[in-house]
Amino acid sequence: MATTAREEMRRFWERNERSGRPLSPHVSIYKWSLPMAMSISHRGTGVALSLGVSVFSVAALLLPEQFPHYLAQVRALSLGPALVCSAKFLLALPLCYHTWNGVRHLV
Amino acid sequence: VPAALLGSALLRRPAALGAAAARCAPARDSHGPPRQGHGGSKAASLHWTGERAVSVLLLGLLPAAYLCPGPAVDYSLAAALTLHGHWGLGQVITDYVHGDVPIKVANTGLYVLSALTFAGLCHFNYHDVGICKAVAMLWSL
Repeated sequence: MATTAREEMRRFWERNERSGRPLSPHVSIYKWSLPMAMSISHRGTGVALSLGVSVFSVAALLLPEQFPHYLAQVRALSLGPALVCSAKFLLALPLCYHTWNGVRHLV
Repeated sequence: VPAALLGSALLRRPAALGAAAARCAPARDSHGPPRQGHGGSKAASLHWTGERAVSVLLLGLLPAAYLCPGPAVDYSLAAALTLHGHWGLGQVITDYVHGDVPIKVANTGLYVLSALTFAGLCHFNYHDVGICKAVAMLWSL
């Protein structure tokens, strides 16, 4: 009987890995294009946002105090408008990029 | 996870079939009906459609969170955000993790992370101010 596709893939990878061939340069030599950069940024922002949400949720589960308490602590630090604004920008940027690029994928 | 693997297996199947048929042309009929392929399960394409549906839902929840904040939007956001993130990270794992055991370990870890995330967000919505209010408060800083 002929082999299944999965079996053939497995054999290919086994032989390939056993031969210990070096990987030819790809990311380091290929000329970057806008679609490539946008695609990896979409993935990067997505992963970063996901991990951010997860960190927030786990913190919500573990930290003793409520959100307003910690917000008041941050406010008490009196960081100055420039720093607060930059922090908001750094939070909003990945979200907006991922959202708008996501719309581009959906359309 | 099996759906994503099935999807990529489905994509590679025609090439493998072509090579196999070229090698044993007279015995082609002994191949029998393919177990995967055109008559196979629709799991992968349903998963894809589900991903788009949740993305659109999440997109709609963003203006909703701004215009009518409240528990309904909070819990919907928690669910849509978690699911969208879970499926997204699942695609990343499918792309970069190879080998049966690493894949299984990574996906199990992802399930745990997503479960924790959803639990944490719901806990936040119930016991604390809720997602919409929290963002509003944060931005008023």
